[in-house]
Amino acid sequence: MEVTIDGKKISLEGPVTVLEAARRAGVDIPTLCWHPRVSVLGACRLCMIEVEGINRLLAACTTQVSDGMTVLTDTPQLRKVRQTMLELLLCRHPLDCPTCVKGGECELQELTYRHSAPENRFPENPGPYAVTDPSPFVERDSEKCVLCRRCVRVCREVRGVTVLGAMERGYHKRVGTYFQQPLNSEFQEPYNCEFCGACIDICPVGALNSKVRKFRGRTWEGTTTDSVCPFCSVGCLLSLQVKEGELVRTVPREGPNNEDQACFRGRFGTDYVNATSRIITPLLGRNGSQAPADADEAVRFAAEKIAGARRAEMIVSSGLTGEEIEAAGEFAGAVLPGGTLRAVDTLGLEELAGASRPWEDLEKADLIVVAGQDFTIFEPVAGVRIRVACGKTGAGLIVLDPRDALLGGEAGLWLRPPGEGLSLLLAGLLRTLAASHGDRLKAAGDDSFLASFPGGENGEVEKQLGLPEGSVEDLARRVAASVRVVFVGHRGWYDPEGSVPSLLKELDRLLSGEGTGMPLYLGRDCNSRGAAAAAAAGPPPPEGAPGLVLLAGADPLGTALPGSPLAKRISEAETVIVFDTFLTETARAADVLFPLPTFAEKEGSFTSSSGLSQQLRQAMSPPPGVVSLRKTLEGLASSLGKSLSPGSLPKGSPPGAASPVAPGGKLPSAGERFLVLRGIPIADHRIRLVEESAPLFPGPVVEAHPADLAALGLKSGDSVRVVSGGSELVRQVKADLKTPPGQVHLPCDPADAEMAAFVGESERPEGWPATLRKLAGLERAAGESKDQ
Amino acid sequence: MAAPIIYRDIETPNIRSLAVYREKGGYKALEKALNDMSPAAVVEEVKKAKLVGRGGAGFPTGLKWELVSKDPATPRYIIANAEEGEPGTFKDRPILEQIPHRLIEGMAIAAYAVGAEEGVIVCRGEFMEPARILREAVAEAEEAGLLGERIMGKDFTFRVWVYRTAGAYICGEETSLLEALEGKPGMPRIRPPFPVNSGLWSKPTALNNVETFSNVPNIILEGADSYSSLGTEKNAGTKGYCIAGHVNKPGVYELPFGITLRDLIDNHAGGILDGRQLKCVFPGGASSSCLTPDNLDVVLDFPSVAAAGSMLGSAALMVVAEPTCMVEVSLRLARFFRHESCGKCIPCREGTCQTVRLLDGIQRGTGRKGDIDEILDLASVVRQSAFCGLGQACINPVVSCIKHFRQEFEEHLEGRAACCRKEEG
Repeated sequence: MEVTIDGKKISLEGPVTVLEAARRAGVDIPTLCWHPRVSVLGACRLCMIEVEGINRLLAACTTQVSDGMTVLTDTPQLRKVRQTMLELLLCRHPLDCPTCVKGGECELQELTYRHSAPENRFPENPGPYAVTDPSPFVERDSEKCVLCRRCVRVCREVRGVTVLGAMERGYHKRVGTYFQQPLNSEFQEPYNCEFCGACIDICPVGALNSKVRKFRGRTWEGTTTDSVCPFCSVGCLLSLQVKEGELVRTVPREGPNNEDQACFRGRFGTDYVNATSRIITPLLGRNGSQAPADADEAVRFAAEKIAGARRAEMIVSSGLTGEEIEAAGEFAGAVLPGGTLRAVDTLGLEELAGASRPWEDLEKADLIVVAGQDFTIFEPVAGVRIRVACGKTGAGLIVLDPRDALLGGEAGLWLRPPGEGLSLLLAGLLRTLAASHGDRLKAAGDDSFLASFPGGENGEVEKQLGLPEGSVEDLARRVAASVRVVFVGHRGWYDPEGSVPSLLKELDRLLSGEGTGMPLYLGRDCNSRGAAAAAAAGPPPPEGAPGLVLLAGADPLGTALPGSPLAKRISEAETVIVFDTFLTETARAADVLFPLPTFAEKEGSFTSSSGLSQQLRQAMSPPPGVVSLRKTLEGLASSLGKSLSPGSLPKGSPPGAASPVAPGGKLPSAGERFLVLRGIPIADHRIRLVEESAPLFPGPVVEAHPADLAALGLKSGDSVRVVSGGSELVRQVKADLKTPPGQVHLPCDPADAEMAAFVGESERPEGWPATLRKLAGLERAAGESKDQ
Repeated sequence: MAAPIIYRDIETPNIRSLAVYREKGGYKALEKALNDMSPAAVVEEVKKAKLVGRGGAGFPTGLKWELVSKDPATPRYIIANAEEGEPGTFKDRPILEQIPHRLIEGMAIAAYAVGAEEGVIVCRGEFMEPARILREAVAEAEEAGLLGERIMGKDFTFRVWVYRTAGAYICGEETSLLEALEGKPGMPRIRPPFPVNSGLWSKPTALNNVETFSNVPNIILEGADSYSSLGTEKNAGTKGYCIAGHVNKPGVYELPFGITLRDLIDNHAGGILDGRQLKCVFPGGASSSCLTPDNLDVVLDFPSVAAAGSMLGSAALMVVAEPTCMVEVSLRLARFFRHESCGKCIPCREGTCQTVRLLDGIQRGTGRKGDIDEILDLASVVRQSAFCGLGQACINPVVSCIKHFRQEFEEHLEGRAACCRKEEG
């Protein structure tokens, strides 16, 4: 097709709108409601154009180019329309630009500067709306809203949440929430506002602002540095704005993993780097008696302990950079006696060593299978990629997730295997594919692999998992009917043995026929893939207690469960040396603690779940005295007369050697009333440092479906006793629509040590059933006092 | 003169019931179509009859059906627009309340013609009684095997649902109606694609006015030639003319296209009320420009009224006699559109607001010199830039009032008008 726009001839392939064609031709047509991430609305009428042969004006964003079209974008008539639109908008928009947070990046300001008439014919008369939303993080200022509905569209189309909508009509029209409730009101359950902040980014004016960064600096002040999000393993790219030594704003930037999205942790959670509670000097002494020490003293103490130890092991967080883990490995090899290097939270990931799978692959799939628990709660941006890919290509979506976390409702098939039943279901799928759809498979099945998983007839599996009859066959049929299937999984606590990655990998191998099957698998931390490649997965082998445990960034006492092998290891060690930024549960147990810089204060790289290594850039200086992990380790080494050297590390066990682990026969049985669903803590100690995030945590409660509560005569706030095997837990119960009927969800808030103990220590009966009983009379009073 | 087509037999007692409707020849057209005609032949017959849409745009119905039937996507839908939201329009309500089966029969014939198996009658929110009657009629027809599977023993399935929207003027606009029917806020969609290809649930949809469907049984039964012997060259058949305002006999009159405005007012509506002087007529509801007594001999069909500078629309004629204040008329119309703008696009949402503000100032005599031209200037922009027909047309009546009665506006602005000052006293 050939079109002429303002005299410029360009040829292009359709279908394409006049607006896109003009942008390609380098012709600027002003827009306000149009945005590349969301559907076309055509509401602002700023992009009106004239087309030769058509005697009315057309909107460039809604008009498709046709061959031979001649377009004019800048005529007196069009200028008049644009001026009038801006006049009409501005007379309803408060002109408090001097104090507006959006100043400097306001699109209305820019449009007015470039296109408006010198004076406004219409008197200023802004709407009567007040800034009222009491929810955290997002401030809504309807008075400034220009009703472009970009926020409404991004909330629904990209984030899948639909918290914001266009309300009323005519001159009463406004963007609002159901019943004018706060963004995170119960009316939104179960799809409540996630505070992803996408609406703030996409708002062209100051109608949606970050409450956290308000008045902490104009957009052009300080320095802005490109870096990588330090939370989950999606690997979103961020821009960090630092002013006078404070991180004042974090916004997502275009990246191969996140496109231009982030979640509330990446955007608001990064505020933790400003926390005053961080450690800035070494601390000596254990459990409450920790006191600041000068660096030489701490190094001397640690060096003495290292020199005196028989055996020592280094445990690193998978949230450290690749370079930090490398330094830890060099230190373990060259300095520690009998040293080993292990990483927490990488279990099962060694299966995927070396492989990569870009998120764009989702857009080549005709079927996407998502397997996990609370999928889009833990990694919202992964959910965005899946949703957007399905929307773009029309690919089918299958979700295997017991909890209602947005994607389920968008899927063509949604199976809700209870908690730890996912591996059983996937094994069932593998068996059924091999047995009934052999012609679809492109590689031979591995009998010995399958033999390591328990299971049986589909009917049996369905009964055990409480799924409708025929579910497994239906799932297999849909998978077999698709040409290109992409599996997406994530590492949750529902998979204690780490068997899901190997199952997904095997499924991928059989269906794609490629030697190295590779699902898109999300580790638990920002550098899980990098850590898995460099260090063996914890927990360490049980033989003999180590004399000395060194932990860098890892907080197994705060994030893993009491009674877990790693926690046991720490409690049994003679000496514990910790390197961390904050006084975590683990750091409290340290004999000596060295401070570490935050992600914003260091250079390095994180390997995201897609296998992509991305570079962190230092956005701010660490406090004086806080040096990099490598520097600290080098200091320690030199005081022992040694130096860090690469390649000297014996690994705990080589990657790939781990055989797939069977789920241990924990098959749910239908005998008791509820199955326990162990939750995934949504936030670690860093997010807890961000005060505004408090309302987002479940608190010390257990959750169950309202229908179940009604059947038991319970309501939210009642105290209940959860009994499973020999253990019991008394907690308030909360109605929760995300939890499927028949299951009780224990959110596993790490601050709730008693619940963690219940989850971690109880001798679980097969399938982990539990009973839920209302506390009565005196018992309740006792239970409630226990809660406090 | 007895109503020849759409309201035929409306006076017959209990014509609402299926039994009486069938006694009067009801469902014979459907029977004829199913037995003797191919779907394509039905489309051909409707094209030949020169039936045009009665909702206001006057689009050829046969052509619309042909476009739907040729779209390979399925399922296809039939939708009857029973919003009847244009102020002054009350031509569909008699059909819905008194001869609902004529509409249902017309829809069934349309469904056969385009290959649809489902239809919806979309009523405005306020049409509770018509919706109840329609549901009864649908149930009756289903029971008699005139709706449902294997209608009249043929391989033809058609079901009808009755739906009420939340009640907004904009929902009479076809794409807003579809949005509302899909459970979304009633706001217009981008066109193209048009509903013939991408209507309800993005499927091909034949969306016609209630009155349009009610013409269909006659066309099939009596033949296109008989049908098109009534009416004008471009617009065949009859029209339900709703006439209201300052006339002696307001009401709905079914008359052939081609009658003149003068004839309608003088000979059917009983002339102007109390022998007063005619001041102007809005021929197509609140969004049409007014015609003055000079235009009394205009022929009432779509092209002729358009040529006279207005539009026939749904043929809701609002007659205004002397000494009505045209500023007051303009302000009332402007307030209506400010209230009914869906708020999607800037020119309509804000433009209607500013028009009311300016007119209010003019009426009170508190406006600025130049406000009248300000309205005209704003109107020219809004007309060119609004997203949908509502916005494009909504300032027309005000502009036409200013055009014909500018002196009254100036008198108000200068505080010289007696008419609007009394209330202030």
